Amino acid sequence: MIKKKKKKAQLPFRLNILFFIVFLMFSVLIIQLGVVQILNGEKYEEEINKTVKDTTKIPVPRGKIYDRNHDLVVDNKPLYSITYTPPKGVQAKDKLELAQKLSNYITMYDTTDKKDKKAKLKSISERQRKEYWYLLHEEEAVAKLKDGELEKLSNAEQYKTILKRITDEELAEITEKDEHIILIKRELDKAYSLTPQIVKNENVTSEEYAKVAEHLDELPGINATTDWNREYLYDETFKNILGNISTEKIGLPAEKLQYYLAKGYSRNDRVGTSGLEEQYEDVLRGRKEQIQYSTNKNGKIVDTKTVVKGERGKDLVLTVDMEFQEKVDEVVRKELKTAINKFPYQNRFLEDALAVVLNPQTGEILAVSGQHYDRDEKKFVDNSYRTLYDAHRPGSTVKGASVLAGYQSGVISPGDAFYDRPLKIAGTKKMGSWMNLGYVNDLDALRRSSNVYMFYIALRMGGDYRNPFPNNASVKFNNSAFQEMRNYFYQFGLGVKTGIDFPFESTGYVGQTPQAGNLLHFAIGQYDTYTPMQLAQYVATIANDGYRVRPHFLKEIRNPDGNAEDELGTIYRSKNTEVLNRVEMDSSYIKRVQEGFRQALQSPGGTGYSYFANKDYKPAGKTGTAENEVFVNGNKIYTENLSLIGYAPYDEPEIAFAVIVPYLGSVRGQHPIQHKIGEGILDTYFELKKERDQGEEKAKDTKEEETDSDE
Amino acid sequence: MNIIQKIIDKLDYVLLFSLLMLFIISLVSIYSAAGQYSQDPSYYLIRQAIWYGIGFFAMMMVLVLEYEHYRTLAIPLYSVGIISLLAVHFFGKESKGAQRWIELPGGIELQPSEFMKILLIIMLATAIYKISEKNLTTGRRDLYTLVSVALLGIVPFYLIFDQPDLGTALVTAAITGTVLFISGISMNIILLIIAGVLGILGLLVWLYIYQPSIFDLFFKEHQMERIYGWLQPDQYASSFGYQLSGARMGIGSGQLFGSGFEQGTMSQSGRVPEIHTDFIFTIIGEEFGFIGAAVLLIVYFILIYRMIIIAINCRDKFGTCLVAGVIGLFSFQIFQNIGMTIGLMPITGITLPFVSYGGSSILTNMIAIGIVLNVHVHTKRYMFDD
Repeated sequence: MIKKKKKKAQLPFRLNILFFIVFLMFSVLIIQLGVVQILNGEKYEEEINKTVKDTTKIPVPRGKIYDRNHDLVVDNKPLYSITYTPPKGVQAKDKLELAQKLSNYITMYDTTDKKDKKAKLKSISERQRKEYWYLLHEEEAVAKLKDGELEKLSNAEQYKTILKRITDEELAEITEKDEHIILIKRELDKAYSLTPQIVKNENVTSEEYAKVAEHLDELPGINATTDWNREYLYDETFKNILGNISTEKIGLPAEKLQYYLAKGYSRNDRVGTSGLEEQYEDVLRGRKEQIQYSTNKNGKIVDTKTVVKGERGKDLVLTVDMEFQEKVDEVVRKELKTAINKFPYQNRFLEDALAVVLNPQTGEILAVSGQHYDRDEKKFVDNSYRTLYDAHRPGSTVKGASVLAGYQSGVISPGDAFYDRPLKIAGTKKMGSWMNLGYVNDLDALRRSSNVYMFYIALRMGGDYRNPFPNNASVKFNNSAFQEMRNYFYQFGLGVKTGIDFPFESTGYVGQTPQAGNLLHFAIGQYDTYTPMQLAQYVATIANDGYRVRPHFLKEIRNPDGNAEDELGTIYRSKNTEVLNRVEMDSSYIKRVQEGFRQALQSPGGTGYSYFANKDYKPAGKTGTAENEVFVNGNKIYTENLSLIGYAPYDEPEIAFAVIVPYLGSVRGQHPIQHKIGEGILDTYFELKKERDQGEEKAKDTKEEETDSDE
Repeated sequence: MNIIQKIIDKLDYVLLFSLLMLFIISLVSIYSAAGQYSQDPSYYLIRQAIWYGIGFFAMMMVLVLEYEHYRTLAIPLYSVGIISLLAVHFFGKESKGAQRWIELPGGIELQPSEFMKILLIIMLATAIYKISEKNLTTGRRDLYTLVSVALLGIVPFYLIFDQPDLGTALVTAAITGTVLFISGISMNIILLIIAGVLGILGLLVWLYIYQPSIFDLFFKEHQMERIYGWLQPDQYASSFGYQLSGARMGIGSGQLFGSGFEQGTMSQSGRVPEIHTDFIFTIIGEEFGFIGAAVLLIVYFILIYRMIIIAINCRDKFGTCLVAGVIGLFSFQIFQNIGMTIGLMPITGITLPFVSYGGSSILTNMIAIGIVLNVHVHTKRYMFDD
C-alpha cells in the first residue's frame, strides 16, 4: 500500500520537472528575443532602413558640328523610341506580362510590308519560342520532369531538360499574336538592370509614341523617349573626316570597352568610332542626366532624384569652309576624271588625287580633299581620310627644305651656283635634272627645279666637296649626313607627326639604307614618303616665315546654350594657333627660299609659270614629279607622282596648299593635273573671297542706304 | 444531454480562453502576412477561420468519447497511421523536394505525419498504461516500458525522417521522450538515455569533422545547409541562410513596440518565404515587437501551465501520459518554431501551433487540445483527497 502511494507521488513530481523544463525553454526564448529585439534591435532596424542607391543615366543628344561659317554640317535627327529600364530583381514573368501589354500599343514590324513581317517572325529562334511556351505553361512544363530529376538536376539543368521536352505540337500553339509578344520580350530581355535599353526606335509612329506615353503607369520600366540619329547635311562631302559613331546595337567598340566603361559610359552607348566624332568624343557626348533611385531592402524605390542635370553635347565649329570644301572636291574630282579619260591606258594605275588647304598662319584647315576612283564600281568616291593616311614620294616639292638644309649646315650660301649636268657616281646610274640647266644658283635651282643642285648639297653634307663632281668617281660619304638632313626636314613636319587633331595620321615611309645615292634621292623627294598633310604643313612653315603651326580641324567648341534651335551657343573654348616650333634657319634664308618659290610660279622659266604667271593673287610654290614604281606580275612599271605645293599671296600668305596625285603614267602630253588642281584651289578660294567681300559690301551698302533714307 | 451538460460544466475555461487569444493572434498575423501572397488579403484569413471552426468541432467530437476508451482504439489507430505513412512513402505526392502528402480521391490532400503525432501519443499512453497494469517487478516493468516505447516511437520517427521531414520527426521524438519521462520509468534509465543522446550527437559531430564520408551516409546536403544557414545566417544570406537572416532582421527591427500592423518592412517585402505558415512569428516579432512576442509566449505558457495542472490533477496514469504527450508536442513545436526564427535552432519546416496558417496543423492541434480537455472533463474529482 505504501509502495503504491509512493508511486503515485512520483508522477506529479515528474510533471513538475517537466513544467520546469518548459519554463526554462520559454525563458531561453524570452532571453533570446530580448537579445535580438532589444539589445540588437537598433542594429537590425538600421540595416533594414539602409537603402541601396542606384544611378540611372539617361542619354542626351550629341553635339552638333558646324563649319567655320556656322553652317550646320552634322545635325541630330530626333527619333521616337520606346525604352525599357528593368528594375532590380525583375522576373521573367514580369517581362512577359510587360511584353503582353506592350504588344497592344506597338508593332515590331512594318504592318504594310508583308516581307518585313515575315522576316521578323522568322527571326524568332526555336529556343525563344520554347522559353515563351514555358513561361505560359509553367506547371505543365515542370510536369515534364521525371520523378528523380527534380532532385538530381540543378535548376539550370532542369530548365534545359524541360525546354528539350517541349514538343512541336506544343509549340504549334503559339499564335501570330504570341510571336509578336516574343519579338517584344526579346528586346526586353536584352536590358541590363537599371540601364535603359531601346525596345523600338525605328519607325516609331507618333501614334505608338503617344499610346505608350499614355499608359506608362501600367508599364513599369518602360519609357517613351526621343533618341537621336546623326544627319549629315553635306552627304558624303568631308564625311570621312567627320567620322562615324557606333550604333545602338554595337554600343561601345570592343577594343575600347574598358576605356569607355572606366569613363562612365554604359555598354550600349553610342560613341565616335572614327574621325572627328572619335577625336572629340569627350566634347560631343554631353553630360548624361543621372537619376538616383534609392531602393530599400524590400526592393521598393523610395526616392528618386536628379543628381546630375543632363546637358546635351557641346557643338563643334570647324575650321573647314564647307562651301569651299565642296568646290575643292569638285575641282579635284574633275581633274582626276580628265586625267583618267585623257590617257585611260597610261593612267590605268591612277586612282587618287589628294589635296589639303590650310591657313599657314593659324593652321586652320580649310579643306581636305581625297577623291578616289573606284575602277570596279566605275565611280568616284570621297576618300578625304587619305590625305592623312596615305604617304607618297613628293618629288621636287621638298627642294625648299633641301636648300634650307644646305644653308643651315653651311655647305652652301645664298647665291652659290653649280653647273647642272648629269652626275655619274661610281656604281650607280647617271642622274640629272629634267634637262641640263647649265649654271644655276639657289634661286634658279628652285625656279627651274634643278636636281643636280640638290645633289651637290647632299654630297657636301656627306663630306664630299668636289666641284664639279668627277665623272664616275666614288663618293666619300659620311652616313651621319642622312640623319642631319632628316633632322632639318623634321623641323618642317616632313617625316614627323603634324600634330593634327585627328585620331590617326601616318608619318610616311622612312628609307632604311643610309647611302650616298639614297641621300641624293632624298634631297629631291625620291626616297622618304610624306602625306599631303605633312607637305601642307611644310609649305605653310615656309610661307609663315619658319613658324611651324599645328594644323587643326577644330575652331571652337560652343556651349549648347543657344536660345533658338539653330542658334549657336556661347564659346566654351577656342582653339588657338599653336606654334609647334620655329625652324632654326635664319629668316634671311627663308626669305631666299620664299623668293625661289615665287619665281617658280611667277618668273619666266619657272616650272609653274605657264599656269600661275598672270594670277592676281600672286602665288608662290614648288612643283614636283616623283618616279614611282608599280609592280604588276613581277614587272616593274614606271609611274609618276605629280605634286604641287604653294601659298598665296606670296607676300602675305593667307592660304597654303599641297596637292599630290600618285601613279600617273609617264607620257608626253600628260594632263598637268597637279597644276590644274592647285590653280583650281587658288582660283576658287580667291573668287569665293571676292564674292563674299562683295556680298558683305553690298549688305553694308544697302544698310547705309537704308540709314540714308531714314535721315 | 446529460453528457453535454457535464462536459460544458467541467471544461477548462482558462485553457479555452488562451485558445481564443491564439485564434485572434493567428487571424491578425495571417491577414498581415497574406498581402504579399494574394490579391485578396482576407483569402487566407477566411480559410484559417474555417479551419478553426472545423478544428473546434473536431475538438468537441473528441470530448464525447471518454478518453479511457481510446485504449481500445489505440492499436487500430496507430496501425492506420503507420500504414498511411507507408502509403506516403510509396505513393505520396512530392512537393518542394519532400514527399509528405497523400492525395485522396476528391482532391483532398492529407499530411499523415501531422495526425501521426496524436496517434503516437495515444499509442504510447496505452502501452505504458497496459504495462503498468501488469503485476511486474520495477526492473522488468521499466525494461518493458523502455523497449515498447522505443519501438513504438522509432517506427514513425524513421518514416517521417525519411520523407524527409526532420522537424516533424523531431516532434515525434519529443513526444516519445516526454511520455517516457512521465511514465515513471527509473531516473537512472532517463539519465542513461540523455547520456546516450548526447553521445550520439557527439559521435555525429566527430564523424562530421573526421569521417565526413560516413557522415554523408546519414545526412543529405540540404539538411546540412540548414545547419550552416543557422550557424552563419549572414554569411549564407543569399542562399540557405536567406530565410533566417531576413526573419531575424525583421524580428530584431521590431524592437520593443514593433513597427505596427502591416508596417513590417521585412514582413511585407516577400523576403521571408513561408511567412504565413512556418515563419509567421516574423510578423508578430516585427510588427508587434518584443511586447507582442512576449504576450504570445505568455498565452502559450498559460496553455501549457493549464495542461500541467490537468495532468497533475488526473490520477490516472493513462490520462497523465496523454496530456504529457500533448505538452511535449506543443512545447517542442513552439520552442523549435520560434527558436528557428531568432537563430536559436536550425530551420525545420514545422508550424507554430494555432498561429501558423494550415488546415492539417490546426486540426491536429485542436484534436490534441480535445484529448487534454477530455482528460480534464472525465477526471473524477475527489473532494476530500489527501
